[in-house]
Amino acid sequence: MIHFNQTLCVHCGACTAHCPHGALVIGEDDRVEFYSNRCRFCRACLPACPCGALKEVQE
Amino acid sequence: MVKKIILKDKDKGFICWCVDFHDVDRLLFLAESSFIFSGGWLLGPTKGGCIALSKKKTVAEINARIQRGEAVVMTAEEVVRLARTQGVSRTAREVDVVTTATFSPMCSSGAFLNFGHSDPPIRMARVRLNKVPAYAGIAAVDAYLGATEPAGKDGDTYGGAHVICDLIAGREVTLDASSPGTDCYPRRRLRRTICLADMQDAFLFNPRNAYQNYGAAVNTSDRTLYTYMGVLNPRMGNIHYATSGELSPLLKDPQLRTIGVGTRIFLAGAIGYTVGAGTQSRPDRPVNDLGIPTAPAATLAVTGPMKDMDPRFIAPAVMTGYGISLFVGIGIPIPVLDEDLCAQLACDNDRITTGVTDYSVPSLKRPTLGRFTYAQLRSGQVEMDGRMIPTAPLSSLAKAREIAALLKEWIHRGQFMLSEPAAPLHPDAALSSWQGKELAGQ
Repeated sequence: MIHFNQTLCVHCGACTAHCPHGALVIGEDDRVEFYSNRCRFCRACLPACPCGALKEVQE
Repeated sequence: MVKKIILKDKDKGFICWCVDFHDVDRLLFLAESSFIFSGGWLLGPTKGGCIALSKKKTVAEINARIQRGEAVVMTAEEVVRLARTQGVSRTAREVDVVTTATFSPMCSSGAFLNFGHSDPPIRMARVRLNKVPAYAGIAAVDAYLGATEPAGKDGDTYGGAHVICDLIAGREVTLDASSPGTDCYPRRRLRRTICLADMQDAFLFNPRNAYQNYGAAVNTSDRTLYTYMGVLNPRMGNIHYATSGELSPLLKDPQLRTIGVGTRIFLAGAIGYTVGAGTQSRPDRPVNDLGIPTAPAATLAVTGPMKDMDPRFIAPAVMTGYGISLFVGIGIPIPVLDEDLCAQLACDNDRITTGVTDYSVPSLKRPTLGRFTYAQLRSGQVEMDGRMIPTAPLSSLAKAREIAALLKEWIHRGQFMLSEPAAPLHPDAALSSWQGKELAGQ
């Protein structure tokens, strides 16, 4: 599964254009939000994050 | 200054007001159309109307208001909304300072570090910090650590930016220095852990930050591109852009009237300064009807003390397949000197545009495929070639907002005074394209 580390995220939003399932979105306060229930584990977001905030972890 | 004097009108002979116009920015309205304006003085008829004027402000006057706790300070986003509801003229009269900010990856960054002398002393010829090489050809224990410098075998994931941020966060790093040894500096090897507090001096010195209107990026080729503008998916799969738009410092004072050499700024949580025009600064780029450049234009070289910095406002970046960069938080207060400047401060994302360039073209002259406003880019998708393309920023608007709000708070508290530039940013220092001869084999 994909783990979203809020502490490392700087909320640039670079990941959001890479998620085809709407699991990563820029919220109304312009902070990145991760909806794990929408994630299909395609991993497209992983190389897009410059801060290491998105990691693949074992369930 | 307003003086009441009698002026003989050849037809009516009524009394007129005589107004010292030297410190007045703009005549807002005249009740009657006839008036004389000459040498900084305005003469107007008073019968049947009145004169309203907008006064120019100076940085010294605004600083005095800050000291008295009377200054009206707003963030750039707040002033955009205010001017939309009450107009630019009234906003220029009411607001003293507008805070702007950006938080973006800025590769051209680094730190000068002085490690202090060991005993016996060493003249460091080769320096590594957590295995990241730093340039040591300066003096005995000085080094410059570039943000993009990779850490040897781990260089894909760790580099100078990480060391800088580790130090600012108070973490220890390993210093490994070597030297051939001299009579005055006999030591040949020094290996120790060191933190920021141990260092004699440490200041960030970034040669090119705060780009004025950096272009957006797209990829029309059939393969994924890994760039400093992030991962660009094939066949125009996404567009990345990298400014905070209406909050961005150099977009809000596009003629650089208040930002120059020695301007006091917010730099990664510390009080820093602009050193001057940044490298590759292009103040000669085309501008729109509001005077805002439509292509990447001016840049800033900035400096500030690392010991005062806050890890919330600086972060390492790893651009997959490209290398290391550094997110830098910069905030610049802009004094609302007059209506012209206020009109630019009030400019919103609907009126600031940038070009989208094709990074699949391996040339400095990449074609611009489209032009969009920041409002369009921020919407999450734009239409190009008849289809919708997802857009995403590399610049953190949330962080930029936090910086603009914090800087506003500092000014309100009287902790941050505005400065006048010691000199302009050398607007004639345009970059010329590389014209040198290539050497054989390159």
